[in-house]
Amino acid sequence: MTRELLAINDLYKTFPIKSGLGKTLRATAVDGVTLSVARGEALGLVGESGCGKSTLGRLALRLLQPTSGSVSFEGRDLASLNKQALRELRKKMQIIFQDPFASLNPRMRILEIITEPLVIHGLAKDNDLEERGAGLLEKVGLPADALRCYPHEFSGGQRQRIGIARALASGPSFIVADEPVSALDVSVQAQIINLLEDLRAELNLSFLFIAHDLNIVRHFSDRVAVMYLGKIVEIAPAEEIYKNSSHPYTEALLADIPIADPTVKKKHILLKGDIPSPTQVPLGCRFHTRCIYRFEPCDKIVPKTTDLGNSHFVDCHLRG
Amino acid sequence: MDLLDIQGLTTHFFTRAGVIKAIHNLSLRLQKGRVLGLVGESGCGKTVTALSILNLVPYPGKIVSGKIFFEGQDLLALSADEMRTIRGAKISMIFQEPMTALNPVFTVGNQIAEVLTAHQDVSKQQAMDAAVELLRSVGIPSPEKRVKEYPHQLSGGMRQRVMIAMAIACKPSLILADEPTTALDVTIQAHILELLGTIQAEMGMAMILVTHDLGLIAERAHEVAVMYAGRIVEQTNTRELFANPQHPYTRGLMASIPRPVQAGKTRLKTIPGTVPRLTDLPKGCTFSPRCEIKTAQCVVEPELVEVQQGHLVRCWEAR
Repeated sequence: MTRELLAINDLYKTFPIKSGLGKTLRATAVDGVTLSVARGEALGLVGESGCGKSTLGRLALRLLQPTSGSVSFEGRDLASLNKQALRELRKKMQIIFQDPFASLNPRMRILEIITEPLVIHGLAKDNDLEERGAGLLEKVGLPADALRCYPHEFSGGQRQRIGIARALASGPSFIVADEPVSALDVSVQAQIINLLEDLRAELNLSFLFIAHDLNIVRHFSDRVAVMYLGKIVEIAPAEEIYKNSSHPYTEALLADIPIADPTVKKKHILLKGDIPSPTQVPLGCRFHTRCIYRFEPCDKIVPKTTDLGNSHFVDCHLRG
Repeated sequence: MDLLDIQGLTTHFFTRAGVIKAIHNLSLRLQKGRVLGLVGESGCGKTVTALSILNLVPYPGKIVSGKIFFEGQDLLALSADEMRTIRGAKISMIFQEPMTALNPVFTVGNQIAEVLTAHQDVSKQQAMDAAVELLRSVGIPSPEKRVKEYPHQLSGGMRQRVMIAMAIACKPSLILADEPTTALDVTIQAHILELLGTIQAEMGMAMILVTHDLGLIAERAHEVAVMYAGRIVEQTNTRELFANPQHPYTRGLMASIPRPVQAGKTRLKTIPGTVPRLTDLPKGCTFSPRCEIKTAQCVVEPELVEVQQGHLVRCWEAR
């Protein structure tokens, strides 16, 4: 068996947008992405709102159909599978959502919420559910008596634990964590990150960890991919990307995070303008409209991916 | 004289589920031209503090007791009409979500001009011209065109710039910025903070920067007040706070953020438990159920006392 667990190859996804004047625009959310996640690896995916990172996460689980390109899991192309085979595979791939308030059904008890995957996949008998539920809650650090409660009785951090328990129920090997801590308070974020780290080690999980907070992504991930307007512009091992960021966008993202230390005088990189609309991706390098190093070829030629060694790849004319 | 001097402010919300004690006996002082960071987690009372200063606490909330002196005048003793001459003119506010804070059916020029015509003796045309200049000063390209646009035509960062233009229109001496960049992306956030910082310094305004982000505080605030469950638990200047945090909550917050300077993977420190419900606050020190260093003394709530020159802490152990 290959070491690669998930392989995304030249993936595209466009969404139609009705402009209101009878015209339909096409927004390109994911624009030719090739990625892979190895067994046991945590791949971080960062980018600003609207860059397509959540869409990519959903495509990876085939919760969305790609416009073109392929996703394969354990060497099997998801598009080639029939419904039953796909369902079978879904046991192994799960998702943790951003908003722990919207992602739990308020009318279901915790027991029903976290054991639903077991029921759907026929993984447990009815009279085992309680025990399995309690076991799952224990894994995420909640008491077994929570099974009887409804979601509204819990705080944000506890709800996120419930969401994690549900994701673990079917015994997955791969989890897409879509901004799992960004809705939580600072003091609770660390609890959830630590929990995910423990589970990752204990259950040998692979992650696609999506976030906009670079410090958290770096903390959690082995490799980090930076996404801008639907494309991966830079990908490298976590430490490498922070030490030797090579794309001007990555550099700006890193420079713009405020550091909680008043003795550090940091120079922010102020990018020009706003993120362009995904219905009108700039020609040439998609970042050229905001880039501070922009030169001759940038608005004409799409930069090729350059291998910088150390598993570090970047799409930028400056490095090509 | 302090520009702002809040004494013993207590604001409660009288809901059917019980009394929510949003702010308890809060005292703060702020001098001209200084930036005070108000930091804490959701529900700790940061926003209600800002709204209390403007006497805009929404129903069923009420300022129960306390005094808020602004330029020597007690704001809470003013009539509604008198308060209106201060709001927007001498004290203005920048809200977290610019889309909901702007009126979708008026052009941005119209909304900025309204601030001016409400407080100053200017014609509509003069106010519109001033609006163009204000938009220019907050870095909006082609302001003559933008002034006629509606909020939905602007991006999030642009809308926040419009909010800032409105807030500085009458050259206030105090700006309350409530999570001004939380809804924005990091690269846009950097611009907005730079802009706010420049304007604040140039115009010599004082600012209360409400945020949950310690990074923002470190970069932008002169002084910091850390809030927990409606109380200030620690207050001092920014350098001192980061160099020498005294309250266990402050220490916990600082330890729980992943730091870019840390080499390799270290485990994050956490604060156990969650923020208490404000209807059902723990007895004694409100932080004690989550505190690692609590003692028998903590059943009695400690006062906020000066443990060193200019460094106030609400903790028995810090004395």
